[in-house]
Amino acid sequence: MERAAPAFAVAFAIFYVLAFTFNYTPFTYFPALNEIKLGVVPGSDTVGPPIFWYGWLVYSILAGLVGAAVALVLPAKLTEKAWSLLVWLVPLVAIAYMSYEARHWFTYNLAG
Amino acid sequence: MNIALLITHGLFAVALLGALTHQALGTVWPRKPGQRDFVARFRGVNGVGYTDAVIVLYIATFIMGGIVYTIYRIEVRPPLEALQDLPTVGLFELKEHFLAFGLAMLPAYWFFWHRRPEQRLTRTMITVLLALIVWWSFLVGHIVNNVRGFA
Repeated sequence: MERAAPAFAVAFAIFYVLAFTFNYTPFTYFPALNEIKLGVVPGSDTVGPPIFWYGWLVYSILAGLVGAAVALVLPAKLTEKAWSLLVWLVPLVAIAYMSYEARHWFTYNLAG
Repeated sequence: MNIALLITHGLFAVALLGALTHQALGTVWPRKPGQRDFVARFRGVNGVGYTDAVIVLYIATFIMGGIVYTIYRIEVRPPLEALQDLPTVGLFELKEHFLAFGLAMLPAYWFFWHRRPEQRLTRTMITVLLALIVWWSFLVGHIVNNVRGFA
């Protein structure tokens, strides 16, 4: 648990950023139709807006579990101190990165 | 039904916000012996006693928010985009991301409060991050609801 729990948070955060950036999702949910379609499917006037976020969460949870399993294999004495730092530092950096990526929502009217 | 779910989601968020704020302030700025003012009493809580409640409230609020999110995506976000109110959309998008990171920190949060209380820096940083995420999400949820609720 000492290594698995922090590793889960770290791997989740890293993969979530990747999933968001490259839109890695196992499925797309269309709330207007209450339908799930496999892979990345764009929205349209007929199917309504897509939700990719659920898929990013699913993939990130799986990545977190893989990260936790890998952490259990690594030598405990060498990595314990690193995990206690990375467990909050990586999510903090991920939050900073996502905030930077979202800047276009707040600066759109300044470009023109 | 959607309104009831949104209100319940909000009520759970209030409880979560209160618990995490008590715990985070008590951790960062512990009450000293003899301090009896209101702020000191607010901080003078047994932090570990909040941990399980915070986890349950976080997960319950997250699940309800995840359900309400479908309504937001159909009925709230498209009009905001049409009205060019993109900063509000951006605030909500950040809320989605931050809450996901917070969710993933919950197992470590539990571990460092219950099993490694001596690791004060790690415990403090996780708790403060979670508190900031929940405060952000609470305020943004209110802003979006004020800009355009379900009505």
